[in-house]
Amino acid sequence: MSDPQEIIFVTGKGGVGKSCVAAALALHEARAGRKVLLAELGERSFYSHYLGFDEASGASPALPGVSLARWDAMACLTEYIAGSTLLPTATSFMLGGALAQSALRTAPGLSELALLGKITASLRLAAYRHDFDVTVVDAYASGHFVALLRAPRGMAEAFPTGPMGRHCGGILAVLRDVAISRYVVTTLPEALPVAEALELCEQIAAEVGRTPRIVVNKLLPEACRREVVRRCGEPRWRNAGYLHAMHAAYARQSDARAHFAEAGYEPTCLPHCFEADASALIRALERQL
Amino acid sequence: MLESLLRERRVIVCAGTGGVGKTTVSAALGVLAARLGLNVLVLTIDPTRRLATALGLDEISGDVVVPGQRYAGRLTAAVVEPHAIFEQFILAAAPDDAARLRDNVLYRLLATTLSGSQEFTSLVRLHDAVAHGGYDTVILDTPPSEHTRDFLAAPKRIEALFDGSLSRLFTAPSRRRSLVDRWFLGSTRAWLKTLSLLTGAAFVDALAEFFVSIGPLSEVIAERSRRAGALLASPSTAFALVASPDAAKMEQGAQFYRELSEAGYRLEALIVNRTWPLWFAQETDEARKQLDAELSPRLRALHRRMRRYYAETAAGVVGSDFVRDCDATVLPLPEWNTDISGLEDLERIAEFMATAVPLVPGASERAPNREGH
Repeated sequence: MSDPQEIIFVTGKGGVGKSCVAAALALHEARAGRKVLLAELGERSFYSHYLGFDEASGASPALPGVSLARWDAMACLTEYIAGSTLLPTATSFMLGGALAQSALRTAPGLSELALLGKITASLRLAAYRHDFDVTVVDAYASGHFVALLRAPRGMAEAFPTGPMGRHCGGILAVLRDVAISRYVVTTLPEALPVAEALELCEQIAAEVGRTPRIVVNKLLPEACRREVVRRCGEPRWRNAGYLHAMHAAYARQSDARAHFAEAGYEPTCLPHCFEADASALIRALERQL
Repeated sequence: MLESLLRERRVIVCAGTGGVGKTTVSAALGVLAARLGLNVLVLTIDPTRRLATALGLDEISGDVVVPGQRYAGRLTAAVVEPHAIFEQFILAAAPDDAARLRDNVLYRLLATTLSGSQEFTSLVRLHDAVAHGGYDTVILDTPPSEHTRDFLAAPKRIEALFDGSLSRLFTAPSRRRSLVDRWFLGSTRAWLKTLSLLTGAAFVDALAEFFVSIGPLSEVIAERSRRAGALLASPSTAFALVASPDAAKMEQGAQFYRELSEAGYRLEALIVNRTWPLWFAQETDEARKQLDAELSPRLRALHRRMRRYYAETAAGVVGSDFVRDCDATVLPLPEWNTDISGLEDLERIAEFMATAVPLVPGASERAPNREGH
């Protein structure tokens, strides 16, 4: 009896540390003994550059036990077309030519669907079943991610009959399945990122009926707060820029936590490791999970 | 220096990936330009509510003279709204087809996904502002995208899409047979049949109808795109790249610089946002020693750790191949203590930009250029 395979989507505003958090989550799952795939979306690989990830072998010394992949929407669409038709890809596209490519690229939703199709394939089609227990997806940032999630419903509503409609249904079912799909919204302990994270959670809930888990990144250590506050009240430290900046940062941090509590969330808190090296940072983050 | 950049160029395009603070930097550049006595327009993409309020953008649409300003020049701001602009554009260009186009399900999906409409509408807006707005300077905040080159490639891509060949592809000689039947002629149409097996005929129908409807617009869209492309390439346009100091963003920036140079564009400024906190930039040796001597071991260790981290970050920026190789002005901006909530916050950034010494002065020879295009 095996547990169903899981998919964890990691998203958040650009610049909050989403990719490192996703990698840390993947490492954490691997340390727990599960077989993990860490997939990044898009044309450029972050992990290959910073973690010595070799695209050919799909592994990185920085993430033992984790397989890596990079999935690009247009490439997934090409793969989907090739896989579904009798014609090999090259011929298909030669027949269609540059104009066909353009039409495909313009046709909204198609490549998003292909990408979601790829991500959920193992859960839907026996022929595509892989043996990873968990797939952690380092997904797009906020707006793009919501657009990705909206693609199946948009397509299904616009074109309810036909093969695409059926695929959309299957994909949506996986995205909504409590046992399979999880959503993680990464953010920072500052007013604006918190507000945006909550909005993103609402949008995700509206699309797939799931409440994301929130991960707040780059928190200052609470152990130092009291001393900072105390010294800021003393005249001799009046001009200490560091202390006053920290005081303001701690205040923002409290506000952020309060805001989440008010909204009914209990976020996972990750400390600011003040670590410039990505591998070291990911290891440090994983220890906190 | 930024000052001469603002005075000498007609258009400043602020590019960069998402999450680096482009919109804020664009607005601050606008303030700086206005302080210099210029009549400047800042075209923002997705301002936060606070920034929109600070710029006076939350109530009114269109170009808004920013309230509460007291500058030698004049600061005007506007938000680029893709749907609105695209609609206006279509209505103006082909009023008869507009209704049919708007009803096309793919058009609706197209307008709601991010497949190029943001770039196109930004460019349309930019072109109009430069051609008819009467501004000395227009600062364009670009849509956030994974690749800064997406924006550059937009004119060509849109031209290719709307140069009429696609609509000719879908226009069939006979109107008697169904749309789908008619295209199953020739090799290209065989491919469409393949697609319809995957997506269903309805989808291919809608796709075809979309391109047929857009047919009359093709010329106009392609022409606009061409003109926008020419504007981007003009000597009176400069690019400013906004990045963050982490290695990944700097690397993306370097890539962008290479692509820009290859295409013949000018990157004239690299603004590295949130490089280090203000306290780090301003901490004197004396202050540091005092903290070192008197803080508890735990807080002292934190302070040291943070100093080391920001010093490494700074070294990473200064020592990066990108900064060494490019001839743009490099200006690191600090991380401020508060969010941007009003015009004063933008003025603080503008003041910093005006007075800070950039890392690399940038090419000193620059032909002043105020010609039309």
